[in-house]
Amino acid sequence: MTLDDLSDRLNPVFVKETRQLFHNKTVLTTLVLLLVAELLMHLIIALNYSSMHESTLEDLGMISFVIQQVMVGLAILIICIGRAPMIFTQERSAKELDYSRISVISPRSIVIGKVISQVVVMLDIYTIAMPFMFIAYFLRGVSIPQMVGWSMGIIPIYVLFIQFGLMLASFGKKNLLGFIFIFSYVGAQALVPIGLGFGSGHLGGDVVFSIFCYVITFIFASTLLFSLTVAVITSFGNRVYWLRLLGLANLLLLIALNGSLSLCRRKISWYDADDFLAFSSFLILVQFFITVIICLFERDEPGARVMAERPDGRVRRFLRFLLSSGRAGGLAFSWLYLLIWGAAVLGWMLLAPVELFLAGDAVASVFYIIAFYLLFYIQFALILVRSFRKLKPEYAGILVFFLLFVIPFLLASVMCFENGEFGDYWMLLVTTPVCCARSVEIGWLGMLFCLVTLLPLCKYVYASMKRFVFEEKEAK
Amino acid sequence: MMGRVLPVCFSRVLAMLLLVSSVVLAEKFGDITMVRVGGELLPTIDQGGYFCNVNMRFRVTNTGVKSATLRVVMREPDAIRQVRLEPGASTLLNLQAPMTEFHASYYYRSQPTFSIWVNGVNYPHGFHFAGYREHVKGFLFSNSLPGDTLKYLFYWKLGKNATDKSYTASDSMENWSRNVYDYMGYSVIWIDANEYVPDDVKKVLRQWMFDGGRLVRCVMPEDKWPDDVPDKGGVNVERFGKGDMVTFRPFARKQREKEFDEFMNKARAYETYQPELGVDLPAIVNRQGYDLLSAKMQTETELALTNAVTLFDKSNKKSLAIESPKVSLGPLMLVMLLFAVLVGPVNYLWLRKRHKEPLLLLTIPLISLVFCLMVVFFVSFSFGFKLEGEISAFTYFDQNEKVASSVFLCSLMANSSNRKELVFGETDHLVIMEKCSLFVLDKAGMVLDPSILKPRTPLNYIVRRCEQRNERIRCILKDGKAEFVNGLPVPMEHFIARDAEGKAFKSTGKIAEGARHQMDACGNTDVAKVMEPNKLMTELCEKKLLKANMTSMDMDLLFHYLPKGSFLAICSKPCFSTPGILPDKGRANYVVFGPVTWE
Repeated sequence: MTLDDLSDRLNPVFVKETRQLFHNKTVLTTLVLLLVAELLMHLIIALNYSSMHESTLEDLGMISFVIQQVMVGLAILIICIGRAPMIFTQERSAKELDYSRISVISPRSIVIGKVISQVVVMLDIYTIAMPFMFIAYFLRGVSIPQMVGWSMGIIPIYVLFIQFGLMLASFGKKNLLGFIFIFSYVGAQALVPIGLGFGSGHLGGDVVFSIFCYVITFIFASTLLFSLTVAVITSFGNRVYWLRLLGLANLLLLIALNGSLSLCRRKISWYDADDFLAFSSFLILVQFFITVIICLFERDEPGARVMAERPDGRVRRFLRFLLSSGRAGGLAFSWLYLLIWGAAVLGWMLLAPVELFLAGDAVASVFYIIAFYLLFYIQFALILVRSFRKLKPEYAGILVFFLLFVIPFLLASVMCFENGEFGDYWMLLVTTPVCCARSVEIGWLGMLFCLVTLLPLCKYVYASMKRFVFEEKEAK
Repeated sequence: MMGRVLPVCFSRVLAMLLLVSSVVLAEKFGDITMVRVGGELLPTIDQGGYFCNVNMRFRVTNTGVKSATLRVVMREPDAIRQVRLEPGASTLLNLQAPMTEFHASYYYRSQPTFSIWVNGVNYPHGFHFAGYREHVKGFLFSNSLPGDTLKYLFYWKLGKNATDKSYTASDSMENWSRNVYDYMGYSVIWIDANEYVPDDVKKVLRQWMFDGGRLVRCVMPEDKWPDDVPDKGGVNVERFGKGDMVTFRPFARKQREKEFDEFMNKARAYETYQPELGVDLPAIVNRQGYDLLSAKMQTETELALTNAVTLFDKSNKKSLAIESPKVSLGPLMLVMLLFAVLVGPVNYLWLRKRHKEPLLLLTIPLISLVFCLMVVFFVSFSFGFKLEGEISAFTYFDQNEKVASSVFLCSLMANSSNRKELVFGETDHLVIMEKCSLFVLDKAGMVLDPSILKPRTPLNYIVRRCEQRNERIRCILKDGKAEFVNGLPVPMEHFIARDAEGKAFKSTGKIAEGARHQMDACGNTDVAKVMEPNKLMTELCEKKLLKANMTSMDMDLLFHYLPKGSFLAICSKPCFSTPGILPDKGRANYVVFGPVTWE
């Protein structure tokens, strides 16, 4: 099999990206500069090595390793996080260059090709620096597990930033690039300690548990960014289908993980049921937040293409209605999401073994309550949008957020915040999830508000669902 | 639905209550019953840092018919403890973790988590601590002090800052706690100098002072100055370990402005005092084990440890600690230059000529991998993979009291990753030195994780051990000929002794354990007057006499430190246990010194 045969089998976007990469002067110059900088640094160390003080020598390996990380980080920033989104933005802003318009390649393939090509290049940059890193190990002050922990901690963060950059670039707006460039580097460097913390087991107790949580977070964030990018670049068709499907899959996966790990807890020494329940509840909340926010910005009714692509059979159509574009579907999906989540929380409270009945369920309940408040705000904003047709969804969202969260919170803070607690006027906070700080039971008012704001929208959701499920397809 | 859910909820709540009550008392894991008999999170103030000290005690009993291995693993802070229990056996399991530092925070979170394994099976349990605990910084007042004493506090502020809280004891001193941990967190305790203090309360207050506390005894204006305290103008300060006891006669600032200023200057002078390396720190924590042994030996080991720490300090580090070998960076630089040229220009131009630039994605990692292996082989084979050690041990062995107190000066270095655990016994007291700073750890019966030994970074530590031993070295004087029997469990390299009249004898060559050996008389008349093991150890270290290949000249030098009726043996194997770990290669010297009765 020749190289050309191999490239025919690979993702076309990946092949195109890698072919272009090594013809680009910026990339080649950066790689050469990286090698020169590494050599220079070690030359400086070699020249001063014999005269160095013992205390400096003890840390020399660590110092050298950190400097190398910064240099490698800069190279990755320039080549993968900076250059790739810039090219993608140019492609997206010029219709004649946009793959999603000029080719039959699916949006998923485009995103996969783009991300993988940059990840491969990033790993290549890392391998260039690897022999130098080994020298750092022998200079003392840094151990192989530390170096592996650091690298394993930071590489997923770089991958996420590449994905984040590509997601922002997929909007095709050049004014976002400066933001990507600065935010990526500053953010990646700021997140290194978190990665290191996970790597060295300082977050979450056990090292294995930390790594486990870190891997789950990475998979979660990576798939979320992927589906968001796909949603943005999908020009024709079901934009949010994959996003909602992924949300549902993540929810079920996290519930299943919690359940199965709890059952096997006696055989798994590193598993911390409390922390994992709280951690997975947080991830579920993040996913829910994105789902309900997108719901606000969707079209009122599914488009003609989505309607035409409806499957046969009412059950399948109903499921498609939940996952397809459209506010009504989004709202129904959010409620389904909350119901499944609620069943899991209730199941945990009632069925969890006695020794696991500790604090984790309280944290899970708080996250669940916050989710209700989020849905309450979005439903309120939707009522406003539907009542005042000229009001844009984003303005409605901001208005509701100020009216129901910011103003009551500020008022309560000014009037009754003392000694770390809200005093007599805590009732001002009932429209915000902050009231959970007073008592978790009060927080359940969020569910009531949510139900109240659903009532005016019920008719709309039902009509939309009826149309989607029962209305026959138009003859072609 | 509700009819089914409610009973379940109630049963859960009931089970919870039962669980909570059982957590406090006892839990059973297989055949092992575990009862928590004590345990503290001990906040201590130490030179501006904020620490948490964990000490958990359990009574464990094997109620089964087979022997069982119990392993308790504590995380945050980390500590591992493993015991093997025969059927019916019961023991006290003490789980201690060293101080964990929480910088720049008045509040710390410390939630030690435990996992309990019996015969390799992990059991769920309910042992846990409360989440947050405030770092107590405050003053404690005896309730016998008059109410206006507080104003003196502000005029004559012995504490660190005005935000410190003050507490008044609810009970008279007669009923104060006899547990020193109850006083931890208070920086200053104010009492009435003429108040009755029971002896056991005095004892714990002294322990508390030893760990850095300041006890202020107020002599009220109408009261007489205590007889046992010298009066130095209304104030006297006595040092106890890291803390002190201040006796003073309070006064109002407005009345005696000048005296107040003088007083403040004195107080400031004391506040700038820095405890020396903190070697006194574990006095409270691990005192119990040493109390079993004689007070004399305790003093000897305390002194020896202080000296050992000083010897191991920065200035003398080179003579006692392993020096990490330096890497030859010159040849490595050439290798790296070759790598840079190969992976960069050569690789690129070669592929470009063949129009196969994308293959760079494969060739770069391949070339890199080859060079990584080259670097590893180059450096690893230069230094090897063994665990190197330099151990000098000094034991003062009192055969009459059957007590051996040892100080191990250890320097270890792992050339690759270390996989051996460092195991310490119940009577071990461990001091670890790192980067010229010193950590005192009490790891009684603990297992230290192998990762404490970082590759190619020497770990210097001192272990103090004081234990009862029954070995006996016999010196026999018969018909003008001197002989001795090696009663130590290891062979000796050298042995010297003085009889009751001060005559010196020496024996050279290897002496097997249990063997009887003849000694030669020496003309050395320079007899030491007092047996000072502490001083001897210092001299041996400083003059680098702790070595295996001693010459007869070196041995003659040692006679100088031998008083009448004493012996000194040099061994190359550990005589009284091992200092946590045995290195694969390196140098080890064990000096045993002590009084001997001639037969």
